Amino acid sequence: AVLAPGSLTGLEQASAEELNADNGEVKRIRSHCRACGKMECPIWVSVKNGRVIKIEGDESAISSHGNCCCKGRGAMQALYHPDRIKYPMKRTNPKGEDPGWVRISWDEAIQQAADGLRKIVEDPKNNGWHSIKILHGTGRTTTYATESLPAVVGTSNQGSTAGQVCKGPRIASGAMIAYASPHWVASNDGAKCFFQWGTNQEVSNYDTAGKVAAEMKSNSEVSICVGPRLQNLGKECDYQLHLRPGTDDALAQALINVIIQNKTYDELFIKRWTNGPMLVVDDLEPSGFAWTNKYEMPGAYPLNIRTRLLKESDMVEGGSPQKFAVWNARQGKVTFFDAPSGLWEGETGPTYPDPEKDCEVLHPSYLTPEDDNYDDTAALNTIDPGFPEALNLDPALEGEFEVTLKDGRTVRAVPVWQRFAQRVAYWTPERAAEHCWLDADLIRETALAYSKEPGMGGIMYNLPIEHTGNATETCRTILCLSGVTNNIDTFGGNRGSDLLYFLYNTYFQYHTPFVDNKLTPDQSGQCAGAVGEDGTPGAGRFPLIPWAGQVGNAAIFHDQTTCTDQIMSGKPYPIRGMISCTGSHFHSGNAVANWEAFKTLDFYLGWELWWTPTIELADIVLPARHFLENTCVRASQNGEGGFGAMVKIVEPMAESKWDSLSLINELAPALGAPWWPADKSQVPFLGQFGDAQWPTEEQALDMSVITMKPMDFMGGHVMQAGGPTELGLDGAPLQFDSYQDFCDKFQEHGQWSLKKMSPFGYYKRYLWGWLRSVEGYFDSESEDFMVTGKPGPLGFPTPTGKFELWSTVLESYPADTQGVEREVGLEDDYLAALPIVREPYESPYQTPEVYEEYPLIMTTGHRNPLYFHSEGRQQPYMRELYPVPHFQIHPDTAAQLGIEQGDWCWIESRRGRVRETADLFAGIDPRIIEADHGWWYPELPAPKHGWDLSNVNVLVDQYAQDPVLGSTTLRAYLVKVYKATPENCPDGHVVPRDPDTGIEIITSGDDPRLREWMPLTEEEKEAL
Amino acid sequence: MEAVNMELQWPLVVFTTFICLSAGTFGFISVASMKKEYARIQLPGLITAFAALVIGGLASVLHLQTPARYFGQFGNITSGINQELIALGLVAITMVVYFVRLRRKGDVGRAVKVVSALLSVVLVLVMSHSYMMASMPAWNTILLPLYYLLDAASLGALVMALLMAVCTEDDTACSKAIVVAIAAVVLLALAVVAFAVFFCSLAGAGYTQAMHVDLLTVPPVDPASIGERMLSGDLAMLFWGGVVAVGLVLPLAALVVSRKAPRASVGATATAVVLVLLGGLAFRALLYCAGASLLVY
Amino acid sequence: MQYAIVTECNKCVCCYACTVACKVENNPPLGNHWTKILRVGPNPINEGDTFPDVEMYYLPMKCQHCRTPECVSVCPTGASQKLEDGTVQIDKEKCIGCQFCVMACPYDVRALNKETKVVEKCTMCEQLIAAGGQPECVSACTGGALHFGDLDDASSEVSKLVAEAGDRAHTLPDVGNGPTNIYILDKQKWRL
Ligand SMILES: Nc1nc2c(c(=O)[nH]1)N[C@H]1C(S)=C(S)[C@@H](COP(=O)(O)OP(=O)(O)OC[C@H]3O[C@@H](n4cnc5c(=O)[nH]c(N)nc54)[C@H](O)[C@@H]3O)O[C@H]1N2
Ligand SMILES: Nc1nc2c(c(=O)[nH]1)N[C@H]1C(S)=C(S)[C@@H](COP(=O)(O)OP(=O)(O)OC[C@H]3O[C@@H](n4cnc5c(=O)[nH]c(N)nc54)[C@H](O)[C@@H]3O)O[C@H]1N2
Ligand code: SF4
Ligand code: SF4
Ligand code: SF4
Ligand code: SF4
Ligand code: SF4
Ligand SMILES: [Mo]
Repeated sequence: AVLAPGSLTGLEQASAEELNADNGEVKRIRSHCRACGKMECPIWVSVKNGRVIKIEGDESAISSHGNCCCKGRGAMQALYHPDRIKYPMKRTNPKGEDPGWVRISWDEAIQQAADGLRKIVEDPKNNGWHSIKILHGTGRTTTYATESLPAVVGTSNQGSTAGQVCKGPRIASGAMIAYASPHWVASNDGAKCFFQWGTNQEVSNYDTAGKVAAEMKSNSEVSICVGPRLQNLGKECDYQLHLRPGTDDALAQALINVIIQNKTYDELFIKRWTNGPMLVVDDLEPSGFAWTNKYEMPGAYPLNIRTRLLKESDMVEGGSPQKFAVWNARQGKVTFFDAPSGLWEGETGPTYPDPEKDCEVLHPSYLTPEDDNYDDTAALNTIDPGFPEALNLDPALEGEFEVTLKDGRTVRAVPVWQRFAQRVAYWTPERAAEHCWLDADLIRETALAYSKEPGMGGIMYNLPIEHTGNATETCRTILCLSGVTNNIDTFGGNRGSDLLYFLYNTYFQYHTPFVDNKLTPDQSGQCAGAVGEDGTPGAGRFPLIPWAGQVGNAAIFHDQTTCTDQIMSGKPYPIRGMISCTGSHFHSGNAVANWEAFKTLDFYLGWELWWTPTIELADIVLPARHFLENTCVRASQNGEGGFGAMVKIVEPMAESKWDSLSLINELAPALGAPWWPADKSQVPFLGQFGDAQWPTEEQALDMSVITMKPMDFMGGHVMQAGGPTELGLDGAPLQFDSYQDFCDKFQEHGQWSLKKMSPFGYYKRYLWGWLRSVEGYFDSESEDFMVTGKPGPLGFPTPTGKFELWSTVLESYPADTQGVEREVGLEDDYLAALPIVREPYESPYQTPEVYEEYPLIMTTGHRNPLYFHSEGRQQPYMRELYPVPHFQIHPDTAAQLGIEQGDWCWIESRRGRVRETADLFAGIDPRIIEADHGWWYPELPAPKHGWDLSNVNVLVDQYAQDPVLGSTTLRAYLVKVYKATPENCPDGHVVPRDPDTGIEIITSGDDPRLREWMPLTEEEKEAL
Repeated sequence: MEAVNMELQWPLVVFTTFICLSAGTFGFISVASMKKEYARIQLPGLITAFAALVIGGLASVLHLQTPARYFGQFGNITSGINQELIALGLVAITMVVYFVRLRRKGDVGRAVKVVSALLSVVLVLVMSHSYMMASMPAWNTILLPLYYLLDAASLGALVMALLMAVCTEDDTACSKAIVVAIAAVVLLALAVVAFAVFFCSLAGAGYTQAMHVDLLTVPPVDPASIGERMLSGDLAMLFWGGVVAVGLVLPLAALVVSRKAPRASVGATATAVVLVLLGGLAFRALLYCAGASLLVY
Repeated sequence: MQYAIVTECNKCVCCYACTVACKVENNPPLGNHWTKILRVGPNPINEGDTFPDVEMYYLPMKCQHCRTPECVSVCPTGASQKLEDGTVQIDKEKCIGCQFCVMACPYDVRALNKETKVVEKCTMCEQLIAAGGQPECVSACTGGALHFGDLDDASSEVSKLVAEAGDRAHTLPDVGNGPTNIYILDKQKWRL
């Protein structure tokens, strides 16, 4: 039966009854897909006789243009899968064996879970809630309560392990030098330049719909693709840079270098909005101030900024450490920029562009009003009018200036830009070509094509660059490339997401529902990786992790490697328990080390849909709902600004529940942890929800929409520029009186475009103050509290208030290099503030002796359209098309190794070995292979389900980490490959099989086991 | 890993082999019996030919997934399979006519014999023609009817020789029959050689050709590789052992031996029949291995 | 009238959306597919080139609804037919599963359904086009590579695409069967 009375859905009750009526009619319901955690494409779901029969893309969707990939189309095979977890279960056998699951009631399960967790928390040998680890995987809108639980109970070991290897570095490096998550490009704008760097969104839909990526490419003037092999859409690009894995940092510097040499950068942006003109004094004791990125969240994690940038406090007694010195070439003297207020010396208030003169309304470039998904949104573009004349200011970018310090010394100061140019000058195209295995002319031509004019388009720099051991540096260097060519927050540029700034009150999707960040800096500094060996908060190898978590949207994390070590060693404090809601042991760090560690935990509670290997280590398992059984608010992650609902289409299977809600209003009460404060008067938007401490599903959902308020549009300022201001049905502001109302309107309207709403509709928000919120935004004492929509100071939310070519955060927190020297090309002094190139931990140049025995560079994880990481291996329509794991290898290399197409081979690193099948692919460098990730075999028995047979993260060195944020090196390490033979396979069988039972894996589409996984209707079941 | 080939359709392999046996035998006895020395083998020959026809026919029906549906809907008269059926039917009718005449009058008129022989040839040609498909470059060659004709001829001559040895006392005629059989098998061997040369000349493109994106575990069929595979690769056993040794060399040896004392070496001649039959099966299996569509889906 | 699918190969990104959409819509048995993607290459751009001077393209494959289809001429029962609208269809009531059509198709796009014992292939989604819709794979196409229409109507979108493409328009190798689906390839060398 569909839609029990009283359930919250996108349909009115009447239609629910209609659906129940067995009339064979087909109903189409609007929703959002979540068969992957990324795009969450708006879809149409067809239901007949209460059963989902078809899923298609919603053509009217502005974010995805009707995209619906194979996973979305086949999602009902997951929904109706016979092997879904249906009831709460409890283990009866020791961990590491078949768990012998027995069914228990929900009440029993929650009670036992609370007892199990409390026992650990209350044990004096442990460190309270810090001894419980959260394991959360990648993007699942409906599971984010797990990410807020730490704030409720107070554990620092929070978040998604996935975040550390996925988006965490991009979001945090963005927040360090510009703003959070600027890697998101509003691709539906249609930029002049299509620039994919380490990504293939046409199949990964990350976070641009494959369809939109393909359209964007087709409609671009210039197209560039950076990645080691011939890619699906990349193969069509004008410039294809097939670089050696893990050398993106050097390539980025070389491209910037060419642009600087040719002066094709955007000088005005650099002078006015970057810290390029700020003066550096080598001969200066770094000094500074405590800085919290307080625009983000209450109780923000303070950073201790210590910089050699010249400040008023260095020159004048009692001067401000946040006023930065710049050489005014017009007046031949130093002038100051005050970072907190965003004002130049002599300014009394922000100077906004003139809406009449400087603004223009833009529409997506390649769609016409006849197109279904034409977004009639007029986005407001601003042409930077330059420095106010009254300032008589022209900041110098080059030169050497003598300045006198307050101690009387006269020292030499040079602009950051000059230093920056010197740093990248090392990377001539020739040098980079040799280092990256590229062609020097190709590097040169690519740089010039991209910088042909300012604002050609954003760089979509995605996942792989976070996986090669220098994540933070690589991300920020690429962002600098986008910055110097004025592609930051421009039409089709590196836009980022506005969620935090605009949809503050519909924070629902990431912190379900609104939870105050109650972790004090002392608490969050205790997370694995940030805690010192002696237990001092924030004194560990990765002191920036707690700060990164705070700016990180969903990419909140602790260090997976250290955490696993802590589980095993108990030092500096023991971690004994785990709560998982999505996530797995084989996706970051070393899979074997994690498995062994998780096996020893005293108590592990998890929600799952499937009997995955990781969940087989749990003590209590709770059944989670499929996305077609759940509802929640959905805002597109990327810069497109789509907004709508995921709708509950069918009743949940058996006893499955919405994981987040059962955590909020069942587990939290059992732990005695109030989710909402009893006194809500001091919390914005909560007042109207009475004194309930644990919201019901209805309250939580209502909370997510009725709090949306029309914005205060700068006193009507922007409307004169033709900036659109209305949103919603019939031009009414987007406002809902209940969740049901929201869903009803969504059914009628489809996805809304937030670009119709200020400040989302603005480009170059730094010109308007929309990137920095006013002080007091989160401060209940302030009169601006409760008010949203007021702009803050102009510029960027960074310590210097500018886009930081010189990163004061990285200068203050130089990376932990563990004594491993990997820096390449430092001709000047070591300066952590400027971009750094690092050789991968294991490479032909870093470890030539290892290269002798392991002569191939491994990169992993290019997305398989059919599977979402480890998901989908039991869905017949996916598995039949791609039954076994593959790795790509050049035919010449394969020939040397005696390997033929389809051969099972061993891939071996210094850490371990796994088997995958060879795909002879002439589009990859003969010195490189690329292997599938995420494999396990649901057809093999518990507890391992064969994960160690083919999962590529068995090969990973968990200690080879990004020195800033700790991201695991999942790509760019050394391996050898050899054909699997009966002699070199442990059980004499080349095709992997379960070592105990001898059961073989599924290797073909007509394996009868796939038939058993087909969903059956009631009639079909009866007919059996 | 093995390459994907056309699925080997055993019923069709058996069908074509036995049709060759049947038509060859029928053809040979019709022609040979025009000479008196060979008249005595007509009845056993006819029975053999008819039995082979029935076995072949049954095999082909077995190949249909829903045979019952077939009869009654002869939707497309010009299709190869229907032409085959017609030819097969005509041959069967002719055999019956032949049989009835033989029983009634002791012998059959020249006209019937000529018709029988011609129809036998036509049956083999029609049958081979239905496999000469433009879609299968390895089959779409004049060598195919040639091979089938010579296979039919070899089998027919062999059966004739065997029956002569069993049914008559005329050593000279027996020896002659064996000589004819030897000649037929030698020609068959030449056809096989021609086929081998043809296979080796098929064009292909190595790893550069179209490749399944879904079934990467299975190498694309490279038509060019069939020559190499049969001469020295995974099909070498089938070719050298099955087609050449079993199907050609051994039977020739057996025939050479039996030629001296045909009636004393009935066993050797019988063995030769079986060997050529087996060789034919092996060669057809090889044809299926070579038979890849222009593009493999 | 000749309904056909025109494919812009350069836009195909090998995402399998068409393959899976076809399965959901038409339910062929597990292991069978009515449309698949072939990878052509990577091949040297010019004779003797090596990586990175290689090129490839994807070839979405399905029944080509030929003008003089061999599969129809070999079919003994008349189950396989060429219809008025140019599509080639199989009458499941008549099919005896002899599979001669499977052998006769130059592209191997037909397969026996082992459950129903009849041969099946792409139907051009006759149930959808009859109702004025588009084939499911065409609506599903991520890259916008697939286009459906009447090639005999010079004013149709597909005819215009083909006319515009000129010598960049190709068919699969024709051995007298006259394949109607057209493949447009801009950048790479057609290698079939
Ligand atoms: N070698 C290599 N390793 C990689 C990568 C790579 O490219 N190469 N990629 C990395 C990246 S980017 C990421 S994001 C991670 C992903 O790592 P994970 O997020 O751990 O991976 P998944 O397999 O997607 O999901 C884990 C589990 O979540 C469960 N799940 C799905 N939906 C729900 C739900 O609604 N509720 C609950 N309770 N559970 C659910 C799934 O069944 C699955 O078992 O992998 C990383 N690992
Ligand atoms: N179907 C499907 N879609 C997914 C996922 C999935 O599992 N399946 N996972 C989702 C998740 S969580 C994420 S994070 C995204 C990731 O999606 P993307 O960002 O698109 O990343 P990948 O597909 O991992 O890799 C993209 C390309 O980078 C290349 N590459 C490999 N090594 C390097 C290198 O060192 N440098 C450069 N420049 N390129 C390299 C690879 O060859 C590959 O073609 O996909 C999301 N979408
Ligand atoms: S990209 Fe993701 S959200 Fe979009 S249809 Fe595919 S699985 Fe669903
Ligand atoms: S492609 Fe094959 S099945 Fe389709 S019409 Fe042509 S010959 Fe027949
Ligand atoms: S299998 Fe069916 S459709 Fe194909 S030729 Fe035989 S009867 Fe005709
Ligand atoms: S036209 Fe229809 S039947 Fe043919 S491949 Fe496309 S979806 Fe399948
Ligand atoms: S849906 Fe389109 S882009 Fe995707 S594989 Fe099929 S034809 Fe290619
Ligand atoms: Mo990810």
